Amino acid sequence: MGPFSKKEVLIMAIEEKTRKLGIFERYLTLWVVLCIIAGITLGKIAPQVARFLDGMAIYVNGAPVVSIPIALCLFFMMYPIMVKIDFAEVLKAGKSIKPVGLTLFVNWAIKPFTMYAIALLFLGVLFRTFIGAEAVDYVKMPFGLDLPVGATHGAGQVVLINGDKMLQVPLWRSYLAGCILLGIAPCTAMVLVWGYLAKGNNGLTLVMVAINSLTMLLL
Amino acid sequence: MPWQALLLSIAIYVALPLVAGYLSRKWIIATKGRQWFEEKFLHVLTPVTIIALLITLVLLFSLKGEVILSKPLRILWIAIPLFIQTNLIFWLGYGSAKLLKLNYKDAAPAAMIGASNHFEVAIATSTMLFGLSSGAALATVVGVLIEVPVMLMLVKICLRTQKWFKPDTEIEQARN
Repeated sequence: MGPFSKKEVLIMAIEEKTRKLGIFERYLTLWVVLCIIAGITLGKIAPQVARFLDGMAIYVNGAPVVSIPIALCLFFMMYPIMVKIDFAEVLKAGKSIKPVGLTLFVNWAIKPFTMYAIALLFLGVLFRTFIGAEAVDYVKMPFGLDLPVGATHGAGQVVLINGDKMLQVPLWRSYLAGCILLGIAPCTAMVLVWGYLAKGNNGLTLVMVAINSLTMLLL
Repeated sequence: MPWQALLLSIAIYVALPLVAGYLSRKWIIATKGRQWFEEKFLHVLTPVTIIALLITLVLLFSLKGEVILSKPLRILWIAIPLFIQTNLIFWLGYGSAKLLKLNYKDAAPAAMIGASNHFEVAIATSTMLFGLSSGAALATVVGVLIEVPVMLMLVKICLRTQKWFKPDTEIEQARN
């Protein structure tokens, strides 16, 4: 260990880390705001660049799933975190039932219901007039359903748009559906970044992300 | 859930950096030694995560710039309930973690896993079910746009409230 004890080295490492991250972390909010403005400006000034980048994606069933530029950025976000993980710690983390159980409970027993309740309250009641109570949205026909034009299905009505059958639904219901989908799709890989920035246990975060993602696959 | 979309996004976003990180860690420690790895290599890597995060933000907002500028108010109406939901779930998770007497290092990621949304899968699902131009797809896009700023806010809250939790034993022992 040289002239320093393990204790001293650890303290120095902690202090070094706090100082290093300082400039980025202290002004992170400012950087975030600047990047948002830069992004919107870029999209406005050079929409062809944005469209080109947007087109670079891997598609599944006609829906863009993995955007290549974003996947590249995410890789550089994740790699430094992954390389720091000591896999002996991951094995230990697998045994911590409490935090893993907590995330599973919150994700599956609470989150979808609060999302439904909150989104319904705001979109369906409080903001309904702002969105436009009469505003409508045209969505794809439910899979495997072939109804005649004019038929009703749930809150929607079958209409013909440009020769395609579409379901006409109130716009706020369409927004509600999107919010519910967000509510039942928990935890992105980005959680590793949030856990890392909050100085959490990265090995445990990895285990929890893995378990929650596997649960989503099963449901 | 459309499992191909989910599988693909997990493979690319999690498995790829995980495997790359695991292998290169083993290789670097084996060839250059643990000390070089911890002092030199990690040193260089530290700002990479945040820089990549900021570039992602620029990308996300440039891709959605047109939508934001054409329907700013509608985006706000969707963003408000999503913001409230994220905060509610975060505090629920964080509070339960405290009740369960977890230490901070476990509590912070556990609370954030609940709060964060898997927007890639949500976007893919809404596009498949309702179509790319639907309001549902727009709502999931708003989910993406607020994710990064809101989660960064929660990170800050976590860092400021570390003291609420049982101290992490190793660091605390080192400090005493």
